[in-house]
Amino acid sequence: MLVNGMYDMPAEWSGPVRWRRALLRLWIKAAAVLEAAMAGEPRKAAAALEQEARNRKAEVLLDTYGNQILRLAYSYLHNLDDAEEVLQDTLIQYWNKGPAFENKAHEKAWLLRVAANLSKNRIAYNKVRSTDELKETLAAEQREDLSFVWEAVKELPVKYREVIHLFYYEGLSTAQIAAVLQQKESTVRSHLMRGRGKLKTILKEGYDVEGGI
Amino acid sequence: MREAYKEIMDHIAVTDEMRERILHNLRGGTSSPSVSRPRRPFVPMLAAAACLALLLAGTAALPRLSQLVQGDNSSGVQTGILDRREAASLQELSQLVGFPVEEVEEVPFSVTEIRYTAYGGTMAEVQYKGEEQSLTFRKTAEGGDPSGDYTAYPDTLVLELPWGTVTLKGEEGAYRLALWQEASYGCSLQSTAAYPAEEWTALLESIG
Repeated sequence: MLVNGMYDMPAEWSGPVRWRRALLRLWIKAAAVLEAAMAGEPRKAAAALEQEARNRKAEVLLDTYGNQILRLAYSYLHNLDDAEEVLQDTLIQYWNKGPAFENKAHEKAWLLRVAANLSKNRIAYNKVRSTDELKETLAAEQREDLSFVWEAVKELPVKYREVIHLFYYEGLSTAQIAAVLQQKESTVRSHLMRGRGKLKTILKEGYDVEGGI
Repeated sequence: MREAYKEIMDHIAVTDEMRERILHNLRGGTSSPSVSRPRRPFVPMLAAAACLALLLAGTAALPRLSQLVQGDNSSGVQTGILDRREAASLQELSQLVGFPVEEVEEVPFSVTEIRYTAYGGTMAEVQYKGEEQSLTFRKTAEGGDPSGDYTAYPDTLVLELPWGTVTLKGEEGAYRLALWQEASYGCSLQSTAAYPAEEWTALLESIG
């Protein structure tokens, strides 16, 4: 029923405050959709429903893959603002393309691929800021050991850095990395081997970079 | 090393403020100002326009095509009704078309065959074939887009290279076609595989 321009919530909907708030929000949104439909605006109602579904999907994507996308972008760009923009643009690409995925692994691979391409485009287009927040954080924490490793990784060419990140951080196999980066597996293995070799040289055997490809 | 790298990367995380900012932008339809996105509703219109342009171009070209003569005025091998001549080398191709033709020096795959072809005496084509992919460079004295690729790609990116401006076309941040003007010549580089802009930059810089 409509009371003072709003739909009244059923009295039996009582319980913990959190649930009541969630139900209230849902009730208000449902009421808005219903009201739009009743006003003879089915398109508006459908658009509102679609928008709400997209908002929920964006939240799920951000909570599920946000950190992974942000870290991959940071591994390319070394700047948090740039990485955040890549994260946002990746979600927009997801939004615009609306791809269908076979499973969660496929979805994750697609998101990482788009984030990698967007990051590399920024590098090619020379649109990368110079501030490296991670370097500053590690310095503030007086983690010279990690600073040393980070600086060594940063010195690697992009083609080695990207496979190092996906291999070391994401724990992907060379076949999975090849799928994400759309390269041949032999190319990935070669880049991984050369990247680790260069890292080893830079770190001057200060860290163990062995461990089987 | 793996543990050290993980510990480093764990410092990077989506904060509550960042999460809210991104969700707010997505809800408001705001996109990053740094990335240009074509408006998808125009894609069908572009496709229709491309079809119309193809039809008009075909109508205009048919009378000319019918007048093409199969002559033997060079050392090249002529094939088909079009004046399509294969050359044995880049130098021979340059002689056939009458202008200098460049090569791609850093092809991103193992090349099994290179084909040099002159079309109508005005367009040169160098095609690099691999086992699974190919790369085609075209240069025409008539200017414009010589690629023959009429796909309505959803994404475009303009690259500023030391020697000029190149337009990349593709989708999802990976590109298949590059177009540019070199003085009065129109040039294109088309790939069967999609590459990000960074690799295209390296590819384009290796042309010489």
